[in-house]
This record gives sequence, C-alpha cells and structure tokens, in this order.
Amino acid sequence: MGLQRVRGFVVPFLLFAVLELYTRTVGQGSDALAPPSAAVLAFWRALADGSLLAGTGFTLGSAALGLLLGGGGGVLLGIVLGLSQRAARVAFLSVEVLRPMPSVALIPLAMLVYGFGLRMELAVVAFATFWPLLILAQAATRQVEPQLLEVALALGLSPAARIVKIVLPAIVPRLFVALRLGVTIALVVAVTVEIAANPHGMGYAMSLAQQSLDPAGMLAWLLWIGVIGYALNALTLRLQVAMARRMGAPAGSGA
Amino acid sequence: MFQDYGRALLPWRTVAQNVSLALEAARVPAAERSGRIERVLTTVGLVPHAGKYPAQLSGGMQQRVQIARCLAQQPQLLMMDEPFGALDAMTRESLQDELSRLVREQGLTVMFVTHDLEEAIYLGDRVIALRTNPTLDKPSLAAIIDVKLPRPREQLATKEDPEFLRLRRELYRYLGHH
Repeated sequence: MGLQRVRGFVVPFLLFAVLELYTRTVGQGSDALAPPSAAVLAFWRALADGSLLAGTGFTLGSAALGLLLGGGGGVLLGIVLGLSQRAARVAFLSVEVLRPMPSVALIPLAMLVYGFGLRMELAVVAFATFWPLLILAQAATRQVEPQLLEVALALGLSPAARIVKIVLPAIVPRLFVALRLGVTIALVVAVTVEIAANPHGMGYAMSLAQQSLDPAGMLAWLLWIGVIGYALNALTLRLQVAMARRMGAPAGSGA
Repeated sequence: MFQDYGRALLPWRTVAQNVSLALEAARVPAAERSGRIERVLTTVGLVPHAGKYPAQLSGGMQQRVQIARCLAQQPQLLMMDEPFGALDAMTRESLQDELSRLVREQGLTVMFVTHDLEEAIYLGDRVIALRTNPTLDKPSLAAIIDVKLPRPREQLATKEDPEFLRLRRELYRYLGHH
C-alpha cells in the first residue's frame, strides 16, 4: 500500500517537473504559463496576506449554504413527490420545464435581483442543486420497499413517524450518492458564478490573477481549487462509508 | 404479520430496535420499552441475538423477530398470512409448536392463513375452508370444521391420530382437485 501510494505521485511530479523546465527555458516570460515553483510562492503570499482564507471561506460558505437551501428543499419536495403519485403528476410539467435550464443562465437574473454578493451566489447554487437532489430523492423514495410501508401501517405509525422512521433511513444510502453529486455541483457553480460575475471568492481571485497577467497566481488558485474539490469528495465518501456502517451494512459496501 | 419475513423487518435496525418500532408506534414511554422488549424476546428465544441485524439471522429467526414485534403490541388477535410458508420443514415444525405454546400461555387468538392442510389441522381449533374460484351458487366459504384433537399437540403422535387423518381426508375434498 505504501509503495502504491508513492507510485500515484510519480506522474503528477513528472508533469510539474516538465512544466517547470519548459517555463524556465523555452516558455520564459509567457503570459499564460508560470513555473510551478512560482505558483507555490504565489500560494504562500496569498496565504500570508489572508486572501486565500477569505476567498476559500466565501466560496465554500456560499456553496455549502446554497446546497443546504437548494438541496435540502429538493430532498424534502422529492420525498413528498415520491410518496404521493398525485403530487408527482401535478408537479411533473413544472419540474421538467425548469430542471433542464442551465443554472448559470440565471446569473444575470440573480444579479438584477440581488446585486453582487452572497445572496446572488446562493440563489444560483440553490437553483443548481435543487433539481438533481429532487429527482434523486423522488426516485429513492419510490423505491422504498412497499412492504416496509405496509408494516408501518399495520403497526399504526403516524404519517410523520412513517417518514422519519421508515422512509428517511431507507433512502439514506441513495441520499449520500445525491449529496456527493450535490457537493460537486455546488462547488462548480459557485466558482463559475465568481468567475463570471460575483467579485468574491476563489473564482474571482483566479480570474483577477488572469486579468492582471499573473499566471503564477492563477495557477496557484487553480491548483488550490483542485485540492479543495478532491478534499470535499474524499470527505463525503468517508461520511458515506461511516454512515453505512452505522446502519448495519457490512464493511466495504459503502459506495 | 407478513408472509415475507425478509422484507418486513427494517434492515437498519437491530432485532431489539425492530421490536421497539411497535412500541414507538404505540407511544409506549421510552423507559418502559427495554423491559417489554426483553420480555417478548425471551418468549420467542431471541435474547442472545437482540443486538444483531436482520441480515445476520436465518429465515426462522427473522420470522421469530416478526412474531416478537407483534407480541410487543400485546394483541388479543394475531393475523398471520402464511407466515411459515417460505421456511424449511424442520424450522416450520418448531415454529408451529412455539406458536401453539404462545397461544396457550398468552391467551392469544390467532387467525392463521395457510395452504398446508396438516398445518391447518395441527394448529387450529377451527378450520375454515375457502373455495377457489367462488361463484354465486358455490360461495367462497366451503366448510367450517371444528378440530377436537387434544392439546398440547405433538408433531408425531397428533399426526398419527385417527381423528387427524379423518379430518385431513375430509378437508382434502375442498382443495379443488378431485
């Protein structure tokens, strides 16, 4: 395992070495590419002057809050639509019309309504995460073992207890898949909003570096965003496995 | 109680927690639950397995968890729809005897649906035979037969009793294949 881990770092290390060599020789003075060592220096500078923490905090905070609002609402509505055929029929057309709309197309509207800042980014992230989580929660709820719902009826569980004690635990494994998808979408959309419009966060810092002809700074932010994305995915994966184990699944059947 | 034992238990709850579901539904205070769970699990002989999940149990044990969950509601009437149909013959016989014991000890009334003639006679005080494809002149109720075999019954001796064999022959006519 130890050796295998080291082996995984060989290719990225070689790529960085090639890039370093190229930018220090042939591509010297390029406006697009910077040596990785300069990116590391730019990273330390951003860390030291606090802009790294502020930008990361803003992007992660608005992605998380947007996911909570949009994804949470999507899951709740998805459960309702999954339980009630009638509600699903009523909502079908509205969902199918609104769902395929590209969320970033909402940026101009969100900017008109909320101006620059946290709220417009929240609105776009919430819209983007609402639909996939609604669809996944609805599908998960419809696949709850019907016999378990009959058991709930036979035991005389109240409708609220039926959702909390039967439906929610039954869909938790699928909800974690939805959560992982939602986290990815939220981060992508948050960074996109910042690059396109909102003058805050990691996306804005990266595009600012690009516009001020600072390829080292841009590369530093790009790599940092990649690290953040990887860390978030690893975190949700670990959460999913831990949860599955707590709910009686045999070890290793997490994903 | 359900025929399909595998899918009637919550897979994310242990044996004790599955029994607890019936008490939660009946709004039994949390302080009383563990005592009542312990009691019904003792009745069905599952105390050593209280902390296991349904996937770790055999079919017969899962069906016993279902019985325990029903008993936890302290019912006067238990409705069982082919509860032992999917079990192997040995497990089925031991659960039949256990059910008879429960009826004797707890004063339960059980309505038991089965396709197995011998099971019906062996367990029942009264057998109600239903007809397949009922019509107007041949309604679904074919016969009501009282079983006067002595209790407690025993898998070998009772099934060799001439009265048992006579009832079996009589009921056989209602199965539809002549």
